[in-house]
Parts: sequence; structure tokens; C-alpha cells
Amino acid sequence: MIEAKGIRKTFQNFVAVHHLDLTVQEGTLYVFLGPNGAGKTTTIRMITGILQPDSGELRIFGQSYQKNRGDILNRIGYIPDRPFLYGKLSANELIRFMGSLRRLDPNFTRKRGKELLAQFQLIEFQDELIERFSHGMKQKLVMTLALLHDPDLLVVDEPMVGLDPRAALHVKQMLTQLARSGKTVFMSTHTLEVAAQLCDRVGIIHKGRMVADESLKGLTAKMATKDGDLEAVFMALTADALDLDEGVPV
Amino acid sequence: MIRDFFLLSSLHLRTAKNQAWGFLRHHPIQAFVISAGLLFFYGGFLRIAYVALARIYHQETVGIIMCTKLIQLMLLVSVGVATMSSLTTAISNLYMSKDLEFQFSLPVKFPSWIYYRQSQVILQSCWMVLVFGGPIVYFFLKLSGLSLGLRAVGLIAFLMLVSMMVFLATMLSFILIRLFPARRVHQVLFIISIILMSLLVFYFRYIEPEKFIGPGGMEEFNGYLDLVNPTAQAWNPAKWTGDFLTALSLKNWPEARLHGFRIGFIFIMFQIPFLFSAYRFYRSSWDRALHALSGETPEPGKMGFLARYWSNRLDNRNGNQTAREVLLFMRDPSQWTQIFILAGLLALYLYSITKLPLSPFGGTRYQLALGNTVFVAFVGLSICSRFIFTSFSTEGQALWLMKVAPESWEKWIESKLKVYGIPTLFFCLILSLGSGIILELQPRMLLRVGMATAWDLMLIMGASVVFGLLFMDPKIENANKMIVSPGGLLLMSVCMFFMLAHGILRIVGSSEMLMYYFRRAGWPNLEGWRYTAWAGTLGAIEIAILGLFLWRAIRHLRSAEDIY
Repeated sequence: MIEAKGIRKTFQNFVAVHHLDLTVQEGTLYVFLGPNGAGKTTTIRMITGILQPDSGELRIFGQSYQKNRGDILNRIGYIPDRPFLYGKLSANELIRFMGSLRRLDPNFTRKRGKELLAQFQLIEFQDELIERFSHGMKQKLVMTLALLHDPDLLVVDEPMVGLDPRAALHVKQMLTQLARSGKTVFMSTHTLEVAAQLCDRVGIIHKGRMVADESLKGLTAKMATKDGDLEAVFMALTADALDLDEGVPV
Repeated sequence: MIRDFFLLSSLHLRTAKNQAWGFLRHHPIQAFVISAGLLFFYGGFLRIAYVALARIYHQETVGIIMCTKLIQLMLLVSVGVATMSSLTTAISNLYMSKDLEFQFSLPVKFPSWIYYRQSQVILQSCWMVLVFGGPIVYFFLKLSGLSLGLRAVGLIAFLMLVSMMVFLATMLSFILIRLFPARRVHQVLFIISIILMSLLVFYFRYIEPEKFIGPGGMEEFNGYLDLVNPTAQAWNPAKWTGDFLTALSLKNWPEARLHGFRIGFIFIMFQIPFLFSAYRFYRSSWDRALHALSGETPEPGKMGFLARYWSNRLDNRNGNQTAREVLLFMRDPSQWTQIFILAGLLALYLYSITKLPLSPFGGTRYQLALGNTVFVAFVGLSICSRFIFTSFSTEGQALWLMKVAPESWEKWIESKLKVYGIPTLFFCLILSLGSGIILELQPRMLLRVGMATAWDLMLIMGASVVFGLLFMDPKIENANKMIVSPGGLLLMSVCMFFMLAHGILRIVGSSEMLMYYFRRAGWPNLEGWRYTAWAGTLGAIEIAILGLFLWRAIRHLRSAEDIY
């Protein structure tokens, strides 16, 4: 599903992602962890086609962005950490606009959009302008947009930020359900509790390098921590991390 | 209080310095080219301004009087520009700014904060007046033989004049926003656009520029200059500063002291109503400022036929991008209210053309119409820089939606050209052909004039797209701030250069007399087929450069990480 071989991304003098190897199998809920500035969001943006790797090979669904950009993007749903949207459109309008960008049938878009808005308790706000939405409402709308075309791969960057407890529970259930139905979920989070609850496999990135990529069980066994204690594993692997660390000097 | 003011200002300066330094470090070649281009342009302006002013000043008998009158005219125009541009800048800085929540929480005294903010409004709305008008005042005082200190005093008087207009405009914004119910800032923008249109009509009809380009235009101009200084203009702030500068230049110290004291006193007196209105109308309603960005736009369902039509087109695979662009434009009051100003400008422009003499400077009406294409191009440039150039940045950080959708960037760019470019082209063609019809041109000449405007506008639109993409800043708060960015300045400079080249080529190509003079100055022979060859070559070079840069800009859009 996702195959990254030695991908590298630099921003001016900083290496954000340093020869990263990553493989995510179909139907997996992969949790991607790392301290602030470790390179999680950069990796996610490369997977979603927003950024291009400077070097290395990245294949999604066995295809590369250079040759099959449209095909890949049609099968990916992306939920970014910050929900920037067109404030002057209504939720309903934005859904229809994104549906037409993805070449979906307008009737299907309307029906599916309404279903998702109802699931995320936004249906009564569908004709409100997005600029009046709270952060959590915008986040829910982004999730609606990401799921609109029923993607095979859902890439999620910090999904719980700004969500109320009910919505957070709904998102957790939704992500688990998606993985069970054979879809792939690639999720980055700082909430280790959520990660431990949901993940099939864990990847930990630190200073732009993968320091772990295993099942939770395997990882905790390897690190000799008690079963399921992801926090202890994370702390051990990222012991020298600083909060404001932004990358590795070239 | 003063310490807080300087602290806040230094934060702003540091941010600007860091941005400039960051740009220089990461794009040294572009930074060098931009700096060199701007220096060349500004250096050329300074040189021409000084030489022209010196030539007028040193004319026998009337030189000093002519210079004095020109300064007074420039002050009058500066007052108009400062008032008009500061109205929207005050609203965008004091009400529609994203940093207000943070700014309001700063532990500084309110007067320091409001003066700091006001200084930003002054700089943003009057930088052009100060950068281009300031040197004229300075040169005038230098030619009068004044010391450096006295020249600085003259410049301070000029700054005070411009600032007073900005203070006035800011007070008006405070009062207008206070008058309207909360979250209705967009209605204020509508009122402001009507005020701006009225000011534009007043200034245009007051100055009556068309009088100066006929037989005896120079006499008209001299007569007009005498009108600038009648005693009836005691209310005119431009006259107060003009009197002071005149007295300084004549070294009439008692008069200079008197006028200097008067302008200083009035400036200080301006601060009382300003502070009063800041406390009474602004400080007491910060909630309006915080809610202004999410203005009370009617709900989509309750909007008119037009909005419903475009909203329905969002489903359409071919028209979705255009529909989105139109809806965003229609729902942004800081954008659509500009249409009223453009409509006013169109009416004014055509009205002024009806007043034109039929034999300007001894030339033909056709030559006048060709000269008019340059003015039309400048109008087109100001519209394109305001709408097309800024539209890429005002898309904002929602751009990621486009990056993760299987959509071509070309279609996205095309939508912007459709929404802003085509109406601008039509607007300019109406100006150009409408003027031609009023000047009673023959159909063949009208066709040439139309083609000239179309050529100019295509180039301007292309350049607006290229610069808009290369200098895209999705974090910009509003379109007004984008125009005064380095990209905006560069766009204006490059297009003005090419438009002037087009204008000279056309006018010289249509006049044997001008051709004779230009050839004596080393200009190439443009007679007969050579004109077509030169024009064609220039057009081909422009298309090639534009195509190359457009390709580069789209590549930048695809790969640039700083865009999202």
C-alpha cells in the first residue's frame, strides 16, 4: 500500500526526513509517532503528494506520483492537523466542490455528504458559512471531505485535536472500523493512549529517521517494557528529543 | 508609553528584517535582481524628478513660481491619495487583521498601541506618496538653497500633512463601524467604497486634467496653477503645508514660523479627536474588531439568484473552479465593493474623454487615442494587480485542498483568469474603444486601438499570473497588503516599463514628426513595414519571456513547500 525507500526531504539547511524506509500493508492501522519536529507531518505530506521527496522512492498502491498522480489522489483521503478551509463557502458547497474535483457523481456526492455530515453531527450546520465554524467543527468537516470518495488509504495527521469527547470517540471507532473493512489508515498522533488502543503497527520517527517500525507487541517485547506500555517505549526511543527540535543540520 | 510604542514598532521592524534576511539567504539571486530592478527604477525616478524640477526652477522670472505651484499641486494630489487609500487600510489594519486577538492581549497602554497601529496604517496607505512625493519636496527645498536641517523640517511638514489625512480617515472608520450593528463591517466597506467614489469624482472634476492637452494647454495649465492658491482654500490642508514650504523656500522666516506653527498646532490638535474617537468608538468595541473577519454574510440559502446560480455550478466538473472563485469574491466585502469604484472610474474616464480637445498638442485624434491606450493599460494594471495578482495569495492556506485533489493547476489558474481577467479585459476595451468612439475614430483605427489594448492587457494579465504565483503568500491577511509586497512592486515596475515601451512605439510609429525627433535621438527607423517588424519582434519576445516564466511559476506551484 505505502512503500517508501530511502526518502529524504530537506528544507533549506535542515533535513526534515532522512533516508526513511517505510512499508504499510493493506488493511493496517499504522500509527506514526514522534516528538515535535521529528518529521511526521513532512512524511505525511509526501505520502499525500503535497510535497515531493528530494530523493528516494515513494510508491502508493504500487504507483508513483510522477506517473499516476491523479489515480493515487483519487484513492487517498487526507485529514491535516490544521483545518484550513474556504471560509466563505458553506459546508454543503465545499463538499459538492470537492466531490466535483474528485469527479464524483453529483447525486452520490450530495447523498454521501449528508450521511457523513449526519455522522459528524454537522447536518444542521450544512448551509452555514465555514468561517463561523469552531475549530472542532472544521476538523469534522475535513474528515467528511476526506471520507467523501470512500478512499482506500486514509492519512490522518493529529486527528483528535480540537474534538469534543463524543466526536473523539466517534473518530476512534471510525478509524478502527475502516481498518477492519480492509482500508488502510496511516495516522500520526501525540496521544499515546489513542495510539496504543488503535494501532496494528507502530512507527516511531526521531530527528527525521525511523527508530522503530513494528507491531506494538513486538516493540514492547523488544524494549523489555511491560506489555502495551507504549509510553515507556516512546520515551526510551526519543530520550534525547527537544521540543523545539526542527531537524538535523545538513 | 513612548517606550511601549517603540517596543511594538521594533517588533514589527524585526519581523520585516527577518523576512527580508530570510528571503536574501534563501533566494539570493532573486533578491539581487529585485533590489537591482527597484533601485534602477527608483534611481531613474529620482534623477528625472531632480532634472525636471531643476529645469523648471531655473527658468527666468517664472521658474520659482512654477515650482512652488507644482509643489502645491503635488501636495493637493497627495492629500487625495492619502485620504482615499487610508480608508480601506485603516479598516483592514484595525478591524480585519488576524493578529488582533494577540495584539489586544498585549500588556501595553492603549495610546501606545493605537499609535503603533496608526503608524502602520500611515506607512501602508501612504508609502507611495512618501516615497515619490518626499523627494520632490526635498529637491524643491534643495534647489532653494536651504540647509539639510531645513530640508528635513520641510519633509516633516509633508509627513504631518499626509498623516493628518490618515488620522481623519481612521476616525471616520471608527465612527462608521460604531454606527453599524456588530459583525456588519462589510456594510461599512460598502459605505466607504461610495465615499471613495465620491472623492474620486470630486478630485477628477476639480483638477480637470483634460484641459491641459489641447492647443494652449500650457496657458490653461499656468492659469490652473494660479487657481490652486486662492484665499478661498483656507480649509485645504495642502495649502497650509504649501504656504509653509513656499515661505521656507523664499527664506521668509517670519512667514515660515507662522505657517510652521499653524501646521504644527493643527497636527497636535488633530490628536485630541483622534484619541477621543479611539477610546470612545474603537476601544469600547473590540469585540466588533475580533468578529469583523467572520462578517455577517447572508447565509447561502438566503442569497440572491446569482449566488444560487454559482452555488449550483459547484457540482459542474467544468465550471466548479470558476463557481468557487465567483462565490468567494461575491462573499468577500473587501473585494466586491471595489466594483463600485471601478464603475465610477469608468464613467469618469469616459466623461473626461468627451471634454478632450480634438487636436491635442497639434497631433491627430488617432494619436490621442493611441496615447490613451497607455492610460487604459495603467488602469488595467491597477485592476489586475488588485485582483489577479492577489487572488493566488488570498486563496490562503486552504490551498492544500487543491494539492490533494486530482485537479490540474492550469484549471485553477484558468478560473482566476476567467473571473478577474476577462472582465478586466472587457472593462479596458470599453475604456479604450469608448474613448475612440467619442473621439470619432474610423473603424480601422478603432480596430487598431482595440488590438493595442488587448495586447497590453494580455501581457499584464500574464505578468499578474506569473508574479502572483512566484510571490504567493498564503498567510497574507488581506489583498491590500499583498499589493505593497515586493512581488506587487515588481509587477507594477515591469508592466509600467513595457506599457511605456508599447505607448512610445505606437505613438512614434503613427507620427512622422515624432519619428524624426526620435530618430535623431538614436531611435530605430519604424517607418512602413519596419514598424510591424519591430512590434512583432517585441510581441514575440514578450510572449517567450511570459511563457518561460509561466512554466517556471507552475513548476514552483507544484513543488514549493512554502506554499502550504
